Amino acid sequence: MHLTQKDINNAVVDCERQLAKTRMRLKAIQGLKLVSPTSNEEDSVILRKKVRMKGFEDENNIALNLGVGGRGDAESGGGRKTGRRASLSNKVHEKIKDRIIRTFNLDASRGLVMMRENGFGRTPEQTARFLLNTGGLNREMIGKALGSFGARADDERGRESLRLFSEGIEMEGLPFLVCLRRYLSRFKLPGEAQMVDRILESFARAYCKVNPDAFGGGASVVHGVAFAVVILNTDLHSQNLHKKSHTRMTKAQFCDNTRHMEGCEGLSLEFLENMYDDIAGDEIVHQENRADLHGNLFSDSVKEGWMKKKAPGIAVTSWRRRWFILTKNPPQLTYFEDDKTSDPKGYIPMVDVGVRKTDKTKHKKGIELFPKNGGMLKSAKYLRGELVVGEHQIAELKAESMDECWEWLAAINDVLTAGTN
Amino acid sequence: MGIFISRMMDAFTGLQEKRILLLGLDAAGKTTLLYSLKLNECVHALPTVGFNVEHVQYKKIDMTVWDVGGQDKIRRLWNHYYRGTDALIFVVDSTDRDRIEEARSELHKILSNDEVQQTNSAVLVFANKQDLPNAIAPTEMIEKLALRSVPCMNWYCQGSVASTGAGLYEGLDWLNNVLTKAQKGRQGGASAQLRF
Repeated sequence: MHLTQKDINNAVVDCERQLAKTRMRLKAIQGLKLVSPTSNEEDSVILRKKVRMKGFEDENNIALNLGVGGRGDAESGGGRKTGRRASLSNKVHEKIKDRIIRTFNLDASRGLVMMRENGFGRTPEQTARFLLNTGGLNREMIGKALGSFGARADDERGRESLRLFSEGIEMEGLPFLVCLRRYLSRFKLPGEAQMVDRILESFARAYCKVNPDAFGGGASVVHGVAFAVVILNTDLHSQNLHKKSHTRMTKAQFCDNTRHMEGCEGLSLEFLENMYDDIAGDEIVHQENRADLHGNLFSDSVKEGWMKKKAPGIAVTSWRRRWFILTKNPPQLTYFEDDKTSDPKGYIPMVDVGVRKTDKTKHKKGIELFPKNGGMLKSAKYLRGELVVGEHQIAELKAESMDECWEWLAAINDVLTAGTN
Repeated sequence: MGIFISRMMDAFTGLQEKRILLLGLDAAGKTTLLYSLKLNECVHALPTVGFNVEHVQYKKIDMTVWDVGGQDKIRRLWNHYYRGTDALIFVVDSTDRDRIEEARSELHKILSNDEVQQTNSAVLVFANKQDLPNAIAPTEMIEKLALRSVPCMNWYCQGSVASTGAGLYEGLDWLNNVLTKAQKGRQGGASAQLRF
């Protein structure tokens, strides 16, 4: 038995979830002692001085200011000039990086230009490192960027960036399919044949560099097999192929077709058959991430989970089960149709907001968000790709369990206090 | 049984299923074209890791359009799909005069493939990006791509702007006519200028 990449990924995600849960519980215990109503009010005054809320158009900037403020905190303790300057330049650096990430997440090519202009992608090494190691990058856009590399014959820089990106992924001594799965999970492979071709060729070169005796035919054979596998994955798993008219590729056809390629005649039938079974049983997938219209990603969430949200109607009020993600940067509570969808339904900005546990209703797991300084609670909804701003007196939520309820309260408090510091 | 009934239904409504390959050089506008055809239909939330393949229904043809391509050495892998293909759509960037020769040799290379010649009966060429200055007109494109030398196949050259969708349905109308009509002499060709 061997573990597939998917199993490993699942295991890692499980562990992380457990860890996060434990952390939340700890915070829940500490947080309840720390937060009192008076300190909340003071905080909000400071917050308003720091951030002038102009409305939802400027939310990105607010998020930026808050985020950077939070990160710079560690260094602001020392009052010496040099320290301050260092922290200032660090702040600026972080701010630029943040803006690049957001731009990149909306438009890869614009992001690449911005990287180049701001010293994050001057050399191919820097570009590759940025694409490999930066948290919160949209994987679809990474794919687009990689696909654009080397599109023109004279794009030496791009080709070099792609090579370094591929070589940056650990492949030494690992089986071919494990590597291919690992490689393709890092970004969303663009669907254009030429782009796929270039990216897979780069993968093949990188694979052969660390596994020189693979398949006995060098990079060109590896490239061919990788291409055949991606065709197979499309053929077997694409939902766009009409079920009626499309007859899925059979094992014999796959082996035959692949061995038909130049240099691949010598591949063993058993090897190809195993590969077919592997792909047929377990689709190659990339880890999808969520992104909203501002280019925000939800990869660094403080807490996520199911909650019920009250949808006030005229005659009947209903509770809708939604997947919630709480983020610190930008400080907002975003909700989704379910835990799979990538487009959010809407969000509530965690600015000038207070949170309390409700006891007025019959259920005891209720959480209420209210405007801290009077007025109305702002919220936003995505309607057919457009952002619509709404105002409510309060937002009512219901957690799934008592434990969850305390965890959510602590987490929201955490985000609110982080925003004010 | 279910399949049988649905086949009967199709026979009744006259819906025909066709496999169509979408070809062209980089940045010719293939993806834009494919997705502007799909504009009014819902797109699946979870895309498969792999090639662009879309299902488009237009009038009486039910098309599965594959984006195929790549370097010479891996081209043989597409043989599986060349087999049983009904038509080709070839997209050319009309403004890219430097690579028109490359596009011509690409097109003829595919058309000379044995598998393609067996079943494929039509080539629809989209002379794309007609909205840009200095674009090659469809009539000129016929010469540049040497379409008249294409053996035993219907062909048609249509000017288009994939980003706005202009010209796309005119091209598909032609394809629809050719594919639904019983084929006798597989000859001939024409072009259509796009008017703005």
